Amino acid sequence: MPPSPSELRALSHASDEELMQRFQADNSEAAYTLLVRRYKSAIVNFLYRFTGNYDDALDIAQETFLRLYRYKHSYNPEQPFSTWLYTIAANLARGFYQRQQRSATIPFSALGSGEDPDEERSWEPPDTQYLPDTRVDTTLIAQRVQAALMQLPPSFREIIILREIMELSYEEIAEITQTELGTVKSRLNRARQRLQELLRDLYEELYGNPSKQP
Amino acid sequence: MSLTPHQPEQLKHLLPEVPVPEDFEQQLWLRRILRELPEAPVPETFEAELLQRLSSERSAPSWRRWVVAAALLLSGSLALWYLLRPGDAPSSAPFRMPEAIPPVVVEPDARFVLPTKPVQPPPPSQRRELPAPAIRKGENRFLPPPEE
Repeated sequence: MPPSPSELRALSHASDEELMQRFQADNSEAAYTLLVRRYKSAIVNFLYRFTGNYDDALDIAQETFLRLYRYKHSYNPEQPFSTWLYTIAANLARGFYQRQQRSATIPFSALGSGEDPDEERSWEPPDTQYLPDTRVDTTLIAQRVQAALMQLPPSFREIIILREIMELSYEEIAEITQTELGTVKSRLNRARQRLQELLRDLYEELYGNPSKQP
Repeated sequence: MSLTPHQPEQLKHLLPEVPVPEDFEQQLWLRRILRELPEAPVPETFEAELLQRLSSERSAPSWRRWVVAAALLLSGSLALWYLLRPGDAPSSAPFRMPEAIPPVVVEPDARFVLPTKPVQPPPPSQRRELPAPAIRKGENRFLPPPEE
């Protein structure tokens, strides 16, 4: 049964962690609803930028909140709630991506060169056949940026989205992606460089070629 | 120690200028454009759909529990019926046991019948003495070495 407005109002000033503790203790539907309301937009946004498909993003976001309900007791109240929730969403997104890739053929050229020691997951093929979802990305610039994001290996894409779009800290990203802090920084650097190369044409179209300018 | 009015100018000349990467502006543009990407909208039905999925998930285990309970009840009652049935129960039981097979009687074979008395060794007079072969010097009684 959905919680009453008065129940929601009573808990509206509680922190995420307090709401989660309340939800763990007495299965408070009001606490759960408030957590969904606080995070649904961020989670859908993160998942959309990762999958590039609005319907898939909504579906995985719902699954994320279902897992939050089902596995509420596995949450440690000393841990920030947002990190825990993003970890669930990121794991689901990765699983979704792997299932998708299993059925797709992998071109040999998509495999990493193996020269880059940071490309731990260079076997992950980027999505080169991406069609922009115009329901979200209505402008041509946004469509081209999203298409460039989809060309990054998922491990790079995940980190650049968490840092540049979701504005999370390096420490939070390390925890969500279950990688070392140094790996997060180096992957982020590589991801930025690649994205810059992929979007060079767009930049030059907008601002001209900087090397040709006086 | 404080600097004289001319010293900051001198310091400025001494310290090299920090170089700015060529693509600094492009890097900045990239980070700005990523932050300006439109937010994916959340449909108004999101929470209602989530609640529906939650309630169907909650009802699924109870449905499964009923199936398991029914199966356990059925198997239990069958086991009870089998244990409590009379000895001459008709063979229409669901788990019919094979009927008793009469034992096969095999005539004892004289060759394999053990002797009743232990066999006595023959008297020493009847024993044939074999001459012990002489052992020559340098000869051994072991088996020859296996062929390579």
